[in-house]
Amino acid sequence: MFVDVDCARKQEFDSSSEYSSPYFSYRREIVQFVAKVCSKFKLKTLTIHYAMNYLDRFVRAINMKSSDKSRYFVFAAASLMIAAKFEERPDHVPYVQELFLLPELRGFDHSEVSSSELMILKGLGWKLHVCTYVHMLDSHISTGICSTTEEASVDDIS
Amino acid sequence: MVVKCESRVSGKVMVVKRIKKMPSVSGDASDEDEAGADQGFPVRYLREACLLRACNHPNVMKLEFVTYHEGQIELFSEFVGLNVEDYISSLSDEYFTRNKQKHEWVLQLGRYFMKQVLKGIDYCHSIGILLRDVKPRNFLISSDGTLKLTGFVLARFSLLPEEPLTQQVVTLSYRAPEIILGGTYPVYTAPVDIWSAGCTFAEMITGRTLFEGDSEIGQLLKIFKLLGTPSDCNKSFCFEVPSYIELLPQWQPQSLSERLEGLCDEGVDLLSRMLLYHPCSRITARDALKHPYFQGDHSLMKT
Repeated sequence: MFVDVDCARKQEFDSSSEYSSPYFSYRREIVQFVAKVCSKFKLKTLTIHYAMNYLDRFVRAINMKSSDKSRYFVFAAASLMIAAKFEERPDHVPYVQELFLLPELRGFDHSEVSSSELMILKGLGWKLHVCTYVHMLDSHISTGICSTTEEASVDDIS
Repeated sequence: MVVKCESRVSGKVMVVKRIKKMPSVSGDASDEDEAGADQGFPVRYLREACLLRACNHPNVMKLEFVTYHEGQIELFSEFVGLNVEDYISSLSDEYFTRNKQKHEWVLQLGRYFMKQVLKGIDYCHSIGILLRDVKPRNFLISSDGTLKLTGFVLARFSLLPEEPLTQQVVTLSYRAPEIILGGTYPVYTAPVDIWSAGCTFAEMITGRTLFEGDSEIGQLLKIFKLLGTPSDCNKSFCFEVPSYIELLPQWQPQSLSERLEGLCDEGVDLLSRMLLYHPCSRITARDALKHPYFQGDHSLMKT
């Protein structure tokens, strides 16, 4: 495949501009939560990266400033659902009911995920095909293999 | 349900695909596939909508917008027209008989359409989309002769090279041998679309499906009968094939130019490169577009 990784990379939002949201103080916990759910449902590593990419972009897109931590967890769960549907085999996608058994999501209604899912999809403009660090890693590894066969000089890689 | 409609705002004619989501009832998995049950937004429509939305190319159908309210999803896409399969069956036999003037027209049209088919596929592959359902039915012809690719229900985004994927993809007649032979989770990637495109190409020239099997094994037999039984399977397919394959009759490859009467040598050469067994030696969409078959000016002449 002729995937232009650098081009895909540029489409990501730039993190340089000033932006503050309580989200960033929760982010570490949210990543751990997403990773935990992924391992519980035996999902791929790539799915975690997709989910976090969607959540980061969504929070930025709607300029979410809420300090209600559990709301971010609901959006994280919805991002994860979207990522799983996009990447995983359909029968590996977790059920909403199963997700709500998790302690982080206690007290929320099932319909929250469906409506959050739609909010995220809209917020992202239905753009789910993004290049994550997993893809970058893969591209770097293959470049590395290329250089050992002396087809590419060090200059080419940089 | 698919309906044609006209926008009151822009006057644009659009096609609406309306999917009713069943009320979410836990434990009832019978309609899961159609409605996504309690997995929230249905998986297949999520992929279709997102991937179509990601595409922006003259040879890919444009998805204008998506609405979702009260459990009902509506995908609004541009209205194109007849699909290639229906177009082929609307032509009389005369068009596919050798040495008739009308046959000449079909050969020209085949080249004209094929170029667009490959452009659409090349674009999708370049942004990391595997189509997994390339067939004449999924190409729509617009009134100005532009071909537009559609049918993204089975498509998936795959930037990582070869990974095991599901076997339940691609309409059987257009399914590449590595999917049929690969077991429950065959490893495949972009070349499967090229195989399907090759079958589509042959169908546009002859008016008949190239390999029409009634089962997976029947499909395999049809393929081997024309292209020859591979003598060394592991070498031909680059992966371990099921052992039953050694019990199959040993056919010699048949001449493709006989099967595709009237097609020029370059066309036959291109087709044979698209129908190679080994996925890695199969021509890519980008290389196919550089093939001598497409060189020169091939604009359509009216007959």
